[in-house]
Amino acid sequence: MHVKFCLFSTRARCFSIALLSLVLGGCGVSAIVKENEVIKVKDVSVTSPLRFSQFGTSRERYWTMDGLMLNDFRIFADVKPGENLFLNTKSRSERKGEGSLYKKGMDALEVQELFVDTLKSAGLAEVSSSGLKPAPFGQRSGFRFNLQFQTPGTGGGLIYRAMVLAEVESDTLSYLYFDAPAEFFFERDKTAIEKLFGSVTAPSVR
Amino acid sequence: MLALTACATRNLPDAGAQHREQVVEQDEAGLWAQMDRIEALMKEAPERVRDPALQTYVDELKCKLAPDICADIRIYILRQSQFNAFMTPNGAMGLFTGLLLRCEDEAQLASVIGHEIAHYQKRHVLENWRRAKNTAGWVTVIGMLAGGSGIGALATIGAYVNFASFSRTQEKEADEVGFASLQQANYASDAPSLVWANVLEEEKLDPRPFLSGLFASHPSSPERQRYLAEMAKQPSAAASKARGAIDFANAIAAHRSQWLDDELARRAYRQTELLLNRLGKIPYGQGQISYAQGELYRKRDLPGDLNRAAAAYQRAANDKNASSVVFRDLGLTLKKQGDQKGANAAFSEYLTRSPQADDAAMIRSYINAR
Amino acid sequence: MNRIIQFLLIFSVSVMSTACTSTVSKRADGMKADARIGRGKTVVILKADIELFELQASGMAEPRADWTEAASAHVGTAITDELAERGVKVVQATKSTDADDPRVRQLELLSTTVGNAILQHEIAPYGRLPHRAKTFDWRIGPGASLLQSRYQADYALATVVRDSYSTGGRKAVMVVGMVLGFSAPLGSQKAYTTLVDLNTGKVIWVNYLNSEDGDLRELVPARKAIKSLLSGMPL
Repeated sequence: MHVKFCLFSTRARCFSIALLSLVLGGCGVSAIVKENEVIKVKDVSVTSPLRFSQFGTSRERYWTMDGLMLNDFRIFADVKPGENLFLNTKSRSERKGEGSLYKKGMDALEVQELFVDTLKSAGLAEVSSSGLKPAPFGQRSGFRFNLQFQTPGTGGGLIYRAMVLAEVESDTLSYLYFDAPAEFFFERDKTAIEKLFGSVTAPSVR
Repeated sequence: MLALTACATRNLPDAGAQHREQVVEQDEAGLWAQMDRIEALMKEAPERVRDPALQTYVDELKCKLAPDICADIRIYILRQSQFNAFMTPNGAMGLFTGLLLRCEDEAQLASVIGHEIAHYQKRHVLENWRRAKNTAGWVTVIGMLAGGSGIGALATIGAYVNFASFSRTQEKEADEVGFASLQQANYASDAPSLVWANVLEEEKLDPRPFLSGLFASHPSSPERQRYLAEMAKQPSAAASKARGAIDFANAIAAHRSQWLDDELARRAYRQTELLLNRLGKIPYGQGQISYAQGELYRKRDLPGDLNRAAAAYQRAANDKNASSVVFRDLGLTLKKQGDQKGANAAFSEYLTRSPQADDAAMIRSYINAR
Repeated sequence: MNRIIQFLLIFSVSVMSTACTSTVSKRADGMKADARIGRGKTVVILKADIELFELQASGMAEPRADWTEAASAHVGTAITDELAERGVKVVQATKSTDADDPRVRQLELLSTTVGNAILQHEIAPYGRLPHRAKTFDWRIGPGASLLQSRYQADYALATVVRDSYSTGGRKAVMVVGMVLGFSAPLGSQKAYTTLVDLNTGKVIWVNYLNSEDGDLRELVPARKAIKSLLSGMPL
């Protein structure tokens, strides 16, 4: 019953990264994002509507208000063909070219599908997607969609909702991702996250 | 029955009907209580497939195989893409949907259920538990098991599956007892060896423990394949013949598309390709398999794959029950191949069939792109 | 990288588990240390999840159904009596399932998740979220009113206890261990309890207890243990 960091593997990894960055000083990324601060990840910029704790690296950022199990916002920039969505260390099968890898030529439908497969492979239950539609990603043409899943296994069943704003340009994928429990947290934080999604600036030509 | 005598290590009396009433020893009671708690949580797990028709089907099968202790065994179907099944010492059996997807008929499923029931009857977990008590190596696994109340998620089941990995002798005993129950219920005696051969074939492509959970301790034992095949050749085995292919196909029909989706989500392309080629030979639900093959090749996208995908989608589209997404995904494939005209036709067909589709706005933007 | 992470995780958990007896208690902002707001109110016992183990010489923890059963009864009695002494009425939660009431089940799962987040970010060392001021602000949201009306209760209390006791063999290991410079704890009691105000959906108090003595198998020491677990509770 004491500390259980791991509800599922991607999150376990997030927690460990969080812990590591808090202990080691955050890999050069500031541990706090202030209200109205502009944060740039590669050439994707967003303006934060609230204060968050932050950890990550030059291409990946995790923000949270109440811990990653309660709200988990991510900015990933320039995911390259052959990498996985969350830039995790590649698994054995991924090194062999199998598994949920981002590929050259993937379009919106396939990116959405890749998110679903990634979450399923991470062990989450009842993963589904909905609402895929074109949407601006700063100055680029992007798309957005929603996800839903549940924590797995015995003691599982907590429903999470997620939303993703993404774009593919020059064969690399950049996206903003947010998930939170459907009960209370998602609805409470949605407005702030919509603001964040709307604040993206990304130059249309690199 | 030839080898029952070979199991010299067996020293626990079998669990008979209503064994629960006879659980008095402290360690067995503790184990049962712990498993009862896990089972209570398992009942509520989101992976549990709650389909009364499918449940009735496996329950009837269970009672055919073990009429005497039928009421002591509870089966939980869990939506997990792995090929796996497990048995807890208190009589709860887990069947993963990845296993159901891989069975070709009722006889094959029966051979797995019979095998698992045998582990219960022979009280193998208790046997291991007693052996483990003085082995420090078990600490971690038991620790996980102990901690897994309410928070441990699948780790609990995972730990349990590890914990319940049986010895070679126990597996053989379960094979033999399971085989006897299969014969008594008149199922084809080669079913266990067929299940095993299929597992081995898939496993050859990627020898991860993915497929071998059921046979975790000795995944690639050719010896096992040998003795299962030999058992099937016994003269007494010739009489039992039932396969129940149609009944099985009907029982899983409503779920098969979803289970195929789960299988495809693994993106274990080589194993899935082999599996789909095998399932494609079964004369039921071939449209589903064609669609899955389209999905497989589109996702894999190696040279030549998009052509294979388009051909598979076309086959699926010819099925009179084809789902509208077949056309969407055909369109997507043609678009990737640069055939915008063909793609637009397929996308339009999709929108005609599903005008209210959730992703209609995106698909419309594809059509209007050029 | 993964090795380091694993090490840190284990390190952080073990920091929490090695202290002899420690409690970490937190209360919502504005709640005085001696606040007693429970008189005449009703508390629903959302969860009293108790398991007892026997530590074998090998280090294996064997679940003991008989001990668990006894301890559950003692802890239940002790909590009820302790609350009664404070003039608080107790009701037991009925087990909720999806079929029964999916929203209530979501709230219960969310409470557990919020409890875990508090454990991780308020109680575990190095876990504090940097952007948070030194305030204690955790909530399960307005859905709490559903629990309020379901149980006619003002507060919800959830308690998880894991306790293990050593056998003779374990003591021998401990002695040898101390000679060699490491210590294998004789057995320990870990208890975590959270209290939610169902009117506001706010977590108003949590307590984490880690103790190497105390015995839940008998009523008298169990009362003592529960008294210490609930000592700072503002009810």
